[in-house]
Order: sequence, then structure tokens, then C-alpha cells
Amino acid sequence: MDKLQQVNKNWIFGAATVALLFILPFVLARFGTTGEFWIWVTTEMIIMALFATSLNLILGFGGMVSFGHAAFFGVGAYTVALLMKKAGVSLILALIAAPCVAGLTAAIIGWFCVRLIGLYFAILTLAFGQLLYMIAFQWYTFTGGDDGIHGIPKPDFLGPTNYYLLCLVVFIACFLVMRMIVNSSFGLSIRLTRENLDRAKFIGINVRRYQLINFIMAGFFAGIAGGLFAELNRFAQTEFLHWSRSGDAIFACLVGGMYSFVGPAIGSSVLIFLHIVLQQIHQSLVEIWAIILGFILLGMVLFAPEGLVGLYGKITRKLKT
Amino acid sequence: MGIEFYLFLLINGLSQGMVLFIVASGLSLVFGVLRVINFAHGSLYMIGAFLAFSLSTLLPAGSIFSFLLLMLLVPLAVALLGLGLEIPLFRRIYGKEHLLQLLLTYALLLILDDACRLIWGGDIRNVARPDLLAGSIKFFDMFLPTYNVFILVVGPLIAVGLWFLLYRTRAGNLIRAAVSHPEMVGALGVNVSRVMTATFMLGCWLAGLGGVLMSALANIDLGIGMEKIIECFAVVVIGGLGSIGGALLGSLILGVGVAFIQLPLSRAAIVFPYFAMALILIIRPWGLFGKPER
Amino acid sequence: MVNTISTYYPVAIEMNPDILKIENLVKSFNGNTVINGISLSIAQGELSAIIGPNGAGKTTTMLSIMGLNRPKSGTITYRGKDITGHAPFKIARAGIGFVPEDRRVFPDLTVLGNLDVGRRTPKNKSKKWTLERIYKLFPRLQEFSHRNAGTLSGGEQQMLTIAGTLMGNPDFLLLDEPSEGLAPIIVKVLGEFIEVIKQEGMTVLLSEQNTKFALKHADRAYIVDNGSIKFEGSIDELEQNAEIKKRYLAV
Repeated sequence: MDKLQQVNKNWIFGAATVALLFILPFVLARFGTTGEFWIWVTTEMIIMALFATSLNLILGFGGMVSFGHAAFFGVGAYTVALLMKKAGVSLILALIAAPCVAGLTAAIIGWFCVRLIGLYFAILTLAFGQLLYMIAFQWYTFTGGDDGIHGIPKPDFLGPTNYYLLCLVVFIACFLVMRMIVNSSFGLSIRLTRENLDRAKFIGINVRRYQLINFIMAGFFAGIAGGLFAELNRFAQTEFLHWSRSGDAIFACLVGGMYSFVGPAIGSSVLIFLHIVLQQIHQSLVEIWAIILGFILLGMVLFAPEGLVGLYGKITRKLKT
Repeated sequence: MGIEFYLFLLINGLSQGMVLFIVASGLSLVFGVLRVINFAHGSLYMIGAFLAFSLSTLLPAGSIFSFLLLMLLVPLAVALLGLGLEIPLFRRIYGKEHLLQLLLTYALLLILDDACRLIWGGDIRNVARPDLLAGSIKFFDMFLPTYNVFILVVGPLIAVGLWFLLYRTRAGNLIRAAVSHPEMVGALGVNVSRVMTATFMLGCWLAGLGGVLMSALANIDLGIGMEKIIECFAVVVIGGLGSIGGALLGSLILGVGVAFIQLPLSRAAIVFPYFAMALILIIRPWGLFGKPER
Repeated sequence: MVNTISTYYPVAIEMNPDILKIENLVKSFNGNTVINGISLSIAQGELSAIIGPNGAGKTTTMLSIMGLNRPKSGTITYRGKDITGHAPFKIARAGIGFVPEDRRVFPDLTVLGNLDVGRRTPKNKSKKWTLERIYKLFPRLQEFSHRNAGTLSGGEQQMLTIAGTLMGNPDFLLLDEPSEGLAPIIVKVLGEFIEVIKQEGMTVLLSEQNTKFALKHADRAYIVDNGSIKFEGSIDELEQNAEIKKRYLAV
């Protein structure tokens, strides 16, 4: 009974959050340029929440630390940028193509990476991610190199509010699909490979194939996030592929809680919010952002490896007893 | 382009490879004993390089003694920094989940890299070679850059020194024993934590030494830490994690490979480490000198 | 500085012949109690045997003495000093030597290297066990001194583990199932060796499933089953106790 109540509570809480998120831009729109800025920020939060949740498919649920997830984010972004700017493809088509290209890239990189698990996997994802970054950096004629690709066309109907709503709808759809994946028998098998590799092998799970499929799916959803982000900024640049962006997603998972499904989304929003708050306090704080992040991460690893969601659970349990 | 040119390329590639070996052997050694991949190892190397730069501005330029002093002091400073990281941080995560270990060292990488940016800024820098090592040496009919030849002497010395330490001293026996059964080493009356701290410091010392040598070999900037850690990863994937011999072979393959490919295809050279890595993964996933895990 | 010996080995040494005392040791793994209130006291110079089947708690007791696991409750006193939960290396330095059950040699080190890891001369003491003596006792180890330990046979590895521990010059030796999985002829060599160190006055705690082997060499026996002690007494007392013999020793 308790469990059922918990499930109901989760749905009610989720629905209320979604409703609030739908109303939010209309409220913010009343506050002029400040409001517009915050619409932009919340749009970024939604996109990054999608990116972090996609990473958590492999990180939290698969137990595979990838330091190269930004590669798929970046590939998604460049796909949208190139298709729209150079081929004149419509936004919707470009947004469909982005995850497909990202997923394909993930299939190629993943084929190598899942051959080795644990530490080697982490090493390889970082290396391959960095490889894509350097290719984008060097291949000037195709990717614009250091400058990136600017001036991605923006359809007329897409004001800040409409784009926010588009992102929100895409996010919710992806979020539900990923939730389904995690709770499916496939998702359970993946969790088993994390918890007990030998047992997973013993009961006949083709571990490598499952991990590869999981890796591709994570890349696929990261591609969507990248595509949305390119259109939001109306440019794509090498920084999107950089390892530090992979780091951001890892932080989001760790801060929010990588053993829960909503954790990464929460963590990512909290971090973006924190970044802006610091910016408002003093510009110099933003300059040491990486150091601040690093210390937060250190603290979380040592003292709260289950993240905010885990902390919240601990506190509520303590209050009950 | 005669043989002289190719010899020049070879010397260049080998000296790059030697520096890479010095750094990568530290990473591999630390992994062998502590079972932790230190993502911040490249940052320690970068700190070594920048420290060498800062210190060199205080010392008389051109003197070989200044440079030798750098080689003495900087690695020591980096090792001490390692001591400051090992006791409060690394010690807490030995034997824990890989995930947490990786995240911890990754957090360190962020902090150290950003600290470097704050301290030294984004400028490209280098350390002037001492006069004695600045020119070239006549080798039969060819002139070879003295500094590269110097590195080709230092690198093998370090390799032999490491080998001697690991295989011919009691400290080496303790380190290698701790690789297989750390708890048994403890039961024999050895303070294993101290062995681990010492090994970590030695790894950091090697990173620092690599940094000093590189600071006068090529330009240094804020990207070199990341660049080197990825090269190190390629080296350990090729050579096998935890193997010093593998690190040497992997480093030389990478150094020479990049030097020669750079010539016809300058852009493809950056892809070479990945290509070599992918190839090894297909034919021998645990590396040339490594042992398959489980 | 003059006091070092007396602070390290308190007066208790004269008053109490028990070198090691375990009181009410309890240890559980994941909620399963493995040892449930074991108490032992081992007199200086005696060879005591813990006898019992697999899973009775013999190894767990040894690991607790050595500090390699942390008991839930209970105290372990060595020469009057509480060593419960101390770091293994400190316990080793206090004079306890441990030979684990699975012949834990360092496989990538040579035989000589293995002995070198164990080498330690306690302060204020003469060096009883030198490389020469070890080699005299185990001639094969000298023969193979430059071979990697991983290439030795099971019996040779067992001898090497014991030899490595002796190199630390302990005065109290824990031998965890030394005869397990060894060929009868090697077990005989092992027995001879045990008699030699007994002659030396070494205090030994031996854990065994091999009852015959244990009874042959022990002065005193503890029979454990299901984590607690079912019998304790001298070998003569055990010989006279038909019920215990029938029930636990299947004699």
C-alpha cells in the first residue's frame, strides 16, 4: 500500500511540476527583458536536464562512467547547424536528424568502448570525445573550426516563449520514453549488469550488446539535447563537444543523485541556477566556476555520493523516525 | 630530404615519446598499486611545467645549473603536492566503487586546471634551454639538437632507475607486493598506507619531471595537461595498464608515430593515438603488456 | 628510553602466562553471525589448535586477531595490551605473525623478494630468523630463490608463506589451515617444521580441519562449531572425553 501511495504521490508531484513549467513562461513574459532572460535560462535548464538524464542512462543505471558524452551533444548541435544553415533543412527535420546522427556516432564509438569495462571504458570515452572535439576544431571548411557555425536560421513563429514550449514538450516526451526504458525488462537487465556483472552474464544477458544499445540510446537523447541547444543559441561551436561539457553532465548526475531517475534533471537545474546566482553576486565568482564545481563534486563524492535526492530521502526518513 | 631529415624526425619523435613515457609511467605505477586512475595526472604534469617556467624566471638564465635545479626542485614540489592530495582525498576512496574514484580525480582535474589558469593565465610560454643544451651536436655528418639528445639520455636513465627501484630494492618489493595482496603486506608488519602514499608521490614526481623536461622542449599552455593525460591514456591502452615496460613501448610508438605522420598529413597526426588505440582494442584489448582482467 | 621494553611488554608478562587472550569475540557479516562469543587464552610457549569444520569461524577468529577484520564486540589482548581493531601492521610489529590459509605469496616477486617483504627485526631483540636459517630449514626455497613465487608448487608456496612470516621474527605465530590441500608427504614436512619451531619456544595458534594433524602437534585444543567453542582443554583431556570426540571429531 505504501508503495502504491508513493507512486501516486510521484505522479501528482510530476503533473504539478509539468503544469507549473507550462505556465512559467507566460508569467515570466510579463517581466520585460528580465523575464525574457529567465525564459532563456529556463529553456537552457530544460535542455541540459535532458542531456544529464541521457547520460544517467549509462552512468547511474549502467554504472559506466563516460567522460565523452558531450561528443553526442555536440554532434547533435552540429547536425542541426549544418543542416539548417548549409542545406536549408527545416527545424523539425533537423531536430529529427540530430539524434539519429548522434546515435550513429555513439554506435561507432560505443563499439570500441564497450569492449572494455570499468576504468578502460572511462578512459576511452574521454579519448574519443576529445577526438571529435579536435576534428571539429581542425576541420575548418566543414565545421568552421574555432569560430563554429553562427546564424542558424530561426523560424518566425519561434519566439522565446514558443521555443521554450517546444523544448518542454520534447523534454517531457524524451523523459517519459527514457523512464519507460529504465523500467522495462531491458532497463532491469542493464541495472543488473551494474550491480552484479557475473550474475548478469550467468543468467544469459549479452552484456556487451546490452551496454552498446544503452550507450547508443544515451547518445541518441544527448543528440536531441544538442540540437535544441544549437537552435536556442543559433550557433554551434567546438565548446559544445568539449570534455568540460561532459563534466557538467556528470556533475548534474552526481549533485542530483545518479541512482534516481529525476536526480540528474534536478542536479542540472540546480547547477545552472547556482551559476547564474553567482554571476549576479559577482562576476569574479564565475571566473572560478570550475574550481567551485570541483569542490562541490569533491564534497559530494566524499560525503553524499547519492546526491540531493539521496540527501532528501535521508532527511525525510530521519524526520519520520 | 635525405637521411638526415628522417633522423631528425626520429630524434624528435623519440624525445617526445620519452617525456610521454616519464609521465605515463607515473600514471601506470599509481594505478598498479592504488587501483585508481588519476585523471588529474595530466594536471600535475602541467603544474610541473608551469612551476618550471615561474622558477626559471627567478634563476640566472642560460646556466645549466639553473636547469638542473629546476629538474631537482620542481618534481619534488609536485610530489609534495601529491602528498597533500593523497592523505586527505585519495586515501578515502581506495577500494571504493570505480565510479566514485573517477569522479573524485575528475573533480581534482577541474580544480587544478582552473587553478593553473588563475595563477599563470592563458599565455603560451616556455623555458629557455640552458646554453649548454641549446645548440646542436654533430653526429657523424649530421647536426642534432642537443636538448633532444639530452632527453634521450634522461628518459632511459629514468626507465633504468625505475626498473632498479622496483626490482632491485626492498621498497620496490613492497610496492610490487602491494599490487597483489596489500592486506598481506600489512600483516607482515609493513605500513601499507605509507607504501601507497610513497607510490603516489613517486607518480607525481614523474609527472613533475615530465613537465620540467617539456617546458624547454616545446611551448606550454593551459591545454597541455589535458593533451598529455589523453596521450597517457592512449599509452596505457596500448601498453597495458600497470605495466612500466608497456608504458615505455607505448610512449615510443606514439611519439615516433606522430612525428612521422605529421610530415605527410599534419592534420592526421592528432588522430594517430586514437587510431593506434582502436587497433590495439580490436586485436588485444588489454594492451600489449597487460593482463586480461577477469 | 630505558623503559621501552616495559611499556611495550607490560608487567603482565610475569604475572600472567597467557600471551593472547580473546574475550567474547562476536563478528557478523551482513547480519549473519559468524563468531558468537569466542573466548580463548593462549599460554606462552604452547601450541594450541582450533579444530572445526569449514565455516565454523576459525579463519574469522584469526583475521580478527590480526586486525584484518573488525569484530562487532569483544576484546583481544596481546601481552596485556588491548589490540582489538588495531591496524594489521601494528599488530604484526607487536610480535604476531600470520600465515593465511590460501598461501598468499606475492606471485610476481621472486622467492627472495617474498622473503624480503617479510624481513623485519623487532627492536630490542636478537634476529632469530635469518635468511641462512630459513634456507637451512627449507632448502628448496634456496634452490628456487630467483624464481617467481607464482611458479612454485602449492607445498612450496605454503613453505614460502610461512618462511616470509618468520622473517619478521614474530614470537606468536598464527597458522591458518596450513595442511589444507597439501600432499601427505608435504604435510609430514610441515609437521616436522612445526616441531622445530615448537622447540624454539614459539607460541603457536593453529587452525585445522585435519584433526589428526592438529592433535599430533598441539598441546591444547579448542573445538569450534557454528561460531562458538564446544570444548577446550589439553589433548589428554580431549582424549578422555568420548562424547566430544564422537560428536565433533568423528573418531
